[in-house]
Amino acid sequence: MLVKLLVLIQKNRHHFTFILFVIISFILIYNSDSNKLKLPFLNNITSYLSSPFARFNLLPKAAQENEMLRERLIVLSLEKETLLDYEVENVKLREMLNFKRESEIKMIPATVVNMGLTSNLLSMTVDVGSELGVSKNNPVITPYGIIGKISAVNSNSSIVQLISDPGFRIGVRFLPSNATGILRWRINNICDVREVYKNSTISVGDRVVTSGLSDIFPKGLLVGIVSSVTDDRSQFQKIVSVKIEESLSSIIHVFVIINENSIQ
Amino acid sequence: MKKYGVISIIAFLMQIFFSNLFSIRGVRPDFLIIFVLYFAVNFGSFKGVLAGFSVGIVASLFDSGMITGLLPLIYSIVGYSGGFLKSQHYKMIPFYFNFSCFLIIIGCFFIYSYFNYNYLFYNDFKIFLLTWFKTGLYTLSLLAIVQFIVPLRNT
Repeated sequence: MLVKLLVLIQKNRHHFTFILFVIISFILIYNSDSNKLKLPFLNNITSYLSSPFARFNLLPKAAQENEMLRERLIVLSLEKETLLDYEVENVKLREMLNFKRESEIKMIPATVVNMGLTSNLLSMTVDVGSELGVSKNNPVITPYGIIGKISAVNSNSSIVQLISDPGFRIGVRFLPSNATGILRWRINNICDVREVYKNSTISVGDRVVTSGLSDIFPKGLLVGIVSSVTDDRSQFQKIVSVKIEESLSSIIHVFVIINENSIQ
Repeated sequence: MKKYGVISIIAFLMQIFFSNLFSIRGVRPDFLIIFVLYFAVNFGSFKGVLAGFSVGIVASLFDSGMITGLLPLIYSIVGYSGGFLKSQHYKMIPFYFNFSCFLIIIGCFFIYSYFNYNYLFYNDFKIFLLTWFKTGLYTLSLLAIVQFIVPLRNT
């Protein structure tokens, strides 16, 4: 009997091996912990090995980016002058109203060193980690807005869960209407914002910023621009499409917003 | 076998360091799935499953993605089903042989997309289909190019 069974297994070993591996894979899938790095030293090795390639990728884009940044610098320096006036005025008004001053945001620059192995871009590795004060859930932004949050931290590298990950949600607010909703990725740099009240006035071109209702994202960080609004009679809420300005697949530099207390 | 060992390392390095260079709108080719298919067609289901699972495990260790067992699952399926095509190119009509490869890859990308985009699967099936096809077809186009240079039949 046992011999027969062994012969059967030997004969059909490819089926048995396949079933075994499928079971193991499912166990791994259902036990995968998104909050932990699988093997931190592997992540360190990959980010170390990838850094020269990341720098190589940077070269063709550097000149173009430089020109664009120069233009932005001029625009921003003009804006800064106006904002300085507003700041003085704001401080005075806040004092008059006895408002608490909001905490300032501290950012550290980071370079993208790895964009994972899978076919869709859902996460990336950046070259900053807990040594520089990065901690889990820190928002990751570019000049065009939020692109994700830190999902796992190593000493010298961190994994960013990108906004393109279908599991990523973010509470947003539309400006100037101040309507709120929950944003999630749909396709091709377009996100859907749901749970938006039907009576709210939202137009194409409105700015979308973080609502500040969660502990993760500070209030007022740019997320994107409204590209279309669906107001279906059969639905109780509006669905708003938001265009993310940043091209995720070509990001090289990002900023991680850190809590000052977490700097080691 | 040694040849495939070297090719597997090359495929790994290409996947880690160069797949992003070929990225189109966030979709990247999967060199490893092509490698596993070639391996399975050459060595059969048993070795194909072993190779697929091992490649998947190593890839998911290096990957920054969130679902750990997905790559081993997909590559095991490719290894297992691809193995049934071993020596079949002598018997099968070329169209059916290539179509089988197509089905294996596109089927595996369906599983991949289902796990990653199950929200879309249940809420916006059209977008899900679009995501599935664009992800799968990109790798299939690459497979077609590789097939043109090194046909699966000649491995």
